[in-house]
Amino acid sequence: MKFEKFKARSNWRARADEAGYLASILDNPPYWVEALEEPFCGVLTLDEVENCIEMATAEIYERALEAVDFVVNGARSEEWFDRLAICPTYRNAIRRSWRRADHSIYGRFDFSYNDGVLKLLELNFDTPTSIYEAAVLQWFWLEDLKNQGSLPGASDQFNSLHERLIGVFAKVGIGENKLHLCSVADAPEDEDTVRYLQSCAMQAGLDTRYLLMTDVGVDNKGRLVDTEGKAIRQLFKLYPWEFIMYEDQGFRSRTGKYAFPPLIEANAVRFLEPSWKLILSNKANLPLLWHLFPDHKFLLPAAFDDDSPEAKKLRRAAHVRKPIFGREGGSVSIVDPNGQQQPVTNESWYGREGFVLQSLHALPTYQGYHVVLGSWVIDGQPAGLGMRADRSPITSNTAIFVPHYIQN
Amino acid sequence: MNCSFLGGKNYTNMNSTNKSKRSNSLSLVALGAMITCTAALTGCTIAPERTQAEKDKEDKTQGYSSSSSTSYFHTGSSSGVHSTPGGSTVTRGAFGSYGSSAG
Repeated sequence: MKFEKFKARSNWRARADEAGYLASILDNPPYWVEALEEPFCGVLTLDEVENCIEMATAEIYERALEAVDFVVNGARSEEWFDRLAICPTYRNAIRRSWRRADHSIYGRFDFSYNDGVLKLLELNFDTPTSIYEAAVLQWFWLEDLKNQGSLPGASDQFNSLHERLIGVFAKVGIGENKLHLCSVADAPEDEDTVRYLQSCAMQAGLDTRYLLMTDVGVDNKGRLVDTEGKAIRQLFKLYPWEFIMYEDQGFRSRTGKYAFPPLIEANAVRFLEPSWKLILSNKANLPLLWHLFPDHKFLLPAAFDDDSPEAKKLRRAAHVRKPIFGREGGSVSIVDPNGQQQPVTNESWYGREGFVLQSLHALPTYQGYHVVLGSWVIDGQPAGLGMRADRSPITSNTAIFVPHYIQN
Repeated sequence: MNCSFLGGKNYTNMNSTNKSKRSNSLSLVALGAMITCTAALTGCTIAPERTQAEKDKEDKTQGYSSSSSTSYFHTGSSSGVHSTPGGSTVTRGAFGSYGSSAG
């Protein structure tokens, strides 16, 4: 993999608008790479895509599902639920969801791919974003640069995201054609993500409706209802399960009962992503994966941030400290006891549930940006790639989206 | 689904090869049109702006109130219990107060 500069399209903002993306999100501050003075892109060979990134994505996804099964059905299930900081009230609901094989739409692995070595940094399998940028915007970019002769006509992209999303929503629509989708208020990036997924669901033939998460109601029969009081049977929520888990305590304080676990256990509402994603989108699964698959070629050594020998060993070299529940690099620190790596901390409110440690595998850099690979899984299959670049070695919500192409 | 924007734009990869990582057509729905059209089709509700009380609640719930490492919950409380014309009650606003956390 390498990076190279390219000349920004003169009409890239118009092209983004044409695609329905809010240019203000792309431009202020810069989010899409063409907003930079010197935009750059990633360049991969087909061999790298097929025999490294795609293969690793499929391999790690299988191992991750094994880890979920280990937590749900293993002899030490309760112990691992404790370590994952998942409250007891939700555990049986998660077990039901997993054993029912509740459908998953998507997820994203973040990889560090440096000097030909690929390592898993973390899993985003509950509320991943940047899917629209990866599926559509970078595809437009590729087509435009090919059409204007800036890239060879044979150039390609690891990207079947759009088609696969429509395909998986078509499966979701079997048996229940209605789908509600929600995100939180005052978050245009989140809403655009959900609107895009809604459009995919509509193209798959589903009858969809968007609402805000705060407008999801619970009636006195315990049903979820929309703003018109109609029962919600399928809900795509771009809202973390751990937040729902926290807020359900407040709901119980008010009403005397939890809202979500009974719905999950009775399968009264099909949730997308399903509740078993609480295990996958949880950084405690990094030491879990290392525990189950030590020395796996795509995994980094990881341990809970405690007094265990594993943790003490990790602290002796450069490592990353991550909150068990966290997003967008919040409360992540890079620590190097030997002083070779400058310490970095991204302060946030995450971390109350504890932390994990992971051996440091530095991201490749270009023009002062640290570039992370986001490898998407749609309906259980590797489906595409997006890159994000941050000035900090800790990728945050200020990272810039970088398109890529496959050099043939 | 008979909505004018569906199928209104068709972007097809004409250069697919047998090695292409993308082989199917990309039929894209413009999001701007999507929002308008969805509202027209389904009566999509535009939510009101959050009140100051709601924003205060978000601030409160984002700041943990307990230092216990074993407590699983914040202290956020549900709010907004409404009666419906049918006589039942609906509680809204109990979920979603944390704001954006996707990534």
